[in-house]
Amino acid sequence: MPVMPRRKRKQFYVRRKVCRFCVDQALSIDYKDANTLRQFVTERGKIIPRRISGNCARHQRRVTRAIKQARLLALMPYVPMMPPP
Amino acid sequence: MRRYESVWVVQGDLPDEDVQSTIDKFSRIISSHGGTLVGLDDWGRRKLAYKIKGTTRGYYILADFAGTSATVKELERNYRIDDRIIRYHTVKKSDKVNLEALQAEIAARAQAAAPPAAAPPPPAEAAPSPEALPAAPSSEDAASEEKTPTTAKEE
Repeated sequence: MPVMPRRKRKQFYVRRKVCRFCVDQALSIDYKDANTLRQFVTERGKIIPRRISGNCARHQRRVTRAIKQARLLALMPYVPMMPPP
Repeated sequence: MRRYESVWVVQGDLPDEDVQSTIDKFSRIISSHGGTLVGLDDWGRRKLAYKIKGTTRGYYILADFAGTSATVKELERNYRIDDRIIRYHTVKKSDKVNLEALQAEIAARAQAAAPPAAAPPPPAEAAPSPEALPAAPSSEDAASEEKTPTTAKEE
């Protein structure tokens, strides 16, 4: 009698993330374009890791750099102004 | 010669004459230190993402120019001296400058800015927006850099 697996392994369907800058060549990364860069920070203003955003290494570096440049010019916050809890 | 762009932020509560005088001053510094000014982009008064020196608004101006390291050095030295400037940032866009293409671009920008400036009285506000489309085909990165400030302005 074959041994039945006690618990069925949970299946993970990992959807392969693709770098959106590689897919769409027309998209540019620019420190002046704070609205686009805002997609790559959390609401706390932290830069979203590559693991989650799906960016490739090259584009993640550029996004990171652009965000830091935008922060310097006060186009993006280092720490957003939060309403009191 | 290299191609640079430089953004500076003037304190937002200062009158327009002060803003205009910084534009004149820094344009002059660029052209008198071996630089060629290609265009100015006026983003207007914007809300800052955080307080700087107690102010919450800033007037953003972007200068697109070709120059040498000496141009940038002198420009940034003057940014630091001027109390009205709360932030500045200079970025190198490309290492080589084609002088003929540069002249063509300046001409295209002047042409785009001229018709609206002739008809209505405020040329400073009218100039940046209509030049965005005609200037775009001249070079690829000009297209991307033109797009962003206009979208940012709507905010």
